[in-house]
Amino acid sequence: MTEPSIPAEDSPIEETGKTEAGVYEANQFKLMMRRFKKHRAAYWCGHIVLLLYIICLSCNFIAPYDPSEIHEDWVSTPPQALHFGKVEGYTLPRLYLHPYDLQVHPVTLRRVYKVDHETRVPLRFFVKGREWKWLGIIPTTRHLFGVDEEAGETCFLLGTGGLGQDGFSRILYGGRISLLLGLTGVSITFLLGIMLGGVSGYYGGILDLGIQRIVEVLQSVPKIPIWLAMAAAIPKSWTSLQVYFAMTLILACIGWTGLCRVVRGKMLSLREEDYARAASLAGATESRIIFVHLVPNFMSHIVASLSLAVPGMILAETSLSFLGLGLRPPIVSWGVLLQEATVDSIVNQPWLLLPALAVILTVLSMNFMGDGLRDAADPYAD
Amino acid sequence: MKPLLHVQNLKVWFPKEHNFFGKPISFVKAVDDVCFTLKQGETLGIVGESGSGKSTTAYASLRALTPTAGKILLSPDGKAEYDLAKMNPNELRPLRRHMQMVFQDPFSSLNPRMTVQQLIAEPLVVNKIGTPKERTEKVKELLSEVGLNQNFLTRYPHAFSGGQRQRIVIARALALNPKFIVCDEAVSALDVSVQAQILNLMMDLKERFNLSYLFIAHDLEVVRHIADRVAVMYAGRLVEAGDTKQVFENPMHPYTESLLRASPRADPNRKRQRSPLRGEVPDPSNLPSGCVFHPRCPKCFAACDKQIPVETHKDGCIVRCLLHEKVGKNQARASVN
Repeated sequence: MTEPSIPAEDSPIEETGKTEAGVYEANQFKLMMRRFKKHRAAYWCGHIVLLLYIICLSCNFIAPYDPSEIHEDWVSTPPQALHFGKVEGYTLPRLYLHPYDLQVHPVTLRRVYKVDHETRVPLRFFVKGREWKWLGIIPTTRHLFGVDEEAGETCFLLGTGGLGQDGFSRILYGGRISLLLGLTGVSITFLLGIMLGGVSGYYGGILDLGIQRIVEVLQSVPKIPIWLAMAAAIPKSWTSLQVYFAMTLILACIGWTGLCRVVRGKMLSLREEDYARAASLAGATESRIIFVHLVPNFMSHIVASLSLAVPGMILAETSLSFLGLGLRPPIVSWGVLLQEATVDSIVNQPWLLLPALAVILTVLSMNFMGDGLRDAADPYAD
Repeated sequence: MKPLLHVQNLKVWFPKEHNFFGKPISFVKAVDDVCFTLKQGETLGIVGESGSGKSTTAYASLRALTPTAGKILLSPDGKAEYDLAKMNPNELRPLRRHMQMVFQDPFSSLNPRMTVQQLIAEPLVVNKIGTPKERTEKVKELLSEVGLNQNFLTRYPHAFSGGQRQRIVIARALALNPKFIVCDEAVSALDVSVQAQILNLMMDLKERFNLSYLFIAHDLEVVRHIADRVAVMYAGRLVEAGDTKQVFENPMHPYTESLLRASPRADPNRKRQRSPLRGEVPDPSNLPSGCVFHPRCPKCFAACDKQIPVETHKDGCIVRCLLHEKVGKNQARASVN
């Protein structure tokens, strides 16, 4: 317990300085942020996570191509490197790409992409392209960057897949699905966990007994077979959106058990706190005690454990989709993208593994952020 | 006029073991057959060792826990009488405003997520008293009553020391203009110098608000300072009760005697007669037969392990000891001879 420098006890009406009032009037959230910022790695990883979400949620604007757009002429192209320098027709140096020259091997008939070092294709910003809707309402055709497609120029920053779909665009669109699935899955987990754990911890008795046994049964079932069973139960005729929500539900239905236990434990310990008892002695109703006194006091812990649960969800979706059990094309998610990366194709097209890099970056930074949040969750510790 | 609080034959037994059908077969008798009254404007101190049932008695008389048996009669205006022991939480809620509590640990009795304003106003909010503006006024008034700066309203509890927090707790308890306040070891977590300030504040407030205190403490000097009457508990039973002065100067029960002898006094000239009690406080789930104190009692005689002593009134005090019962006196004399 850190004791702030206190005014002398024998003069309780003494006014303290203005600078101290900042700490004294800081609520728990402010104190928590203060501690979180001290954890450098977690703080910066938090920024990365935020950036990832911003990029993936604005994939419509940032991605130069539609994820399902097929370029028959540009199948399995390696990534095109970005360069910086002078481009013909422009006075200032700028970003440019070298175009590919497609040649067919005379003997094997394999497609070979040769970099044309002579030509420089400038990367244009805020170009017109395919139409998309801003916030789903306002139609616009502007994109962050692109090239003059009508002149036959291409920009495949991370290469293309077996059907000539742009890898970079697909990773962004896939990220939107994967990251949102993690978030929605965790929100459902959160609701189930808080409600069942709260009831279990506050009321105890037979309810507690029942809920805890259900949790134990769910936790003892091996995860992959139960995912298999539930994924198999999804009808093939469902639209991709329906499959998406079904997947979210499946992941959430299994994920809530851990949170339920955390909430129950916190309820059990906080219920005995003097301030909860004081509130009931003041005449507060049970719901007031739970929602005004108990829940806010363990909310920070819940937020921390949730931020650690999101990467778990993302990994689960990725592995399920990779196994062909989760989302299916035409939905693009990181797992679906990795499905394309079979042993054969990786040998010739290692860039197909790039979605895995995105997964690793996301999961690592989320874990770091979650760790930092957990440490910061109790501003009164040490 | 009826006493403010009249507790009759209060029993709080916690089930310890259950049989096959879930029926309790043995109990921890935390409080057993306790009777006391608290009059308007009076301070009743309850003293005893740890585990003697002081706090349980306090909680039960506020109905913070449900007693096993007995009556808890509250008459806020001296006329109507409510038996708290038989009421359910919804019936109790309107009566809660007459009785408030100050806890031992000022660090856990204030919700760390609320500002001082929210904390002190909470009893008003939950009882739907006044408009937000009136509440703020009331909170300011209460803050100055307990000697805190009115600018502290927006601060959180972590900004305060133990003594200041206890002042906030007291202000909160006063918000509803209660008739009596239960203080469960209210000053034992504080430094001695701060203890004195809080005690003086409490005595001061008692005069101004016409309060009654049920003051639980293990520090005998504190009780001597603040209480009008004192009750001594041992192993869940009340062994002696009476005017503070009389009990402290002329204890009748052998347990009270040894308790007083064991307490340190800030008087270098006083000669201490050390005669510590043998043994330990009995296991409340397996109490000795007869008088619960007999295995440790220096004045124990033959009948003590058979006969449960009853309340004997003597010189305005109540004592539960066979020595002071008629049968006892003769037998004791016989066993001494």
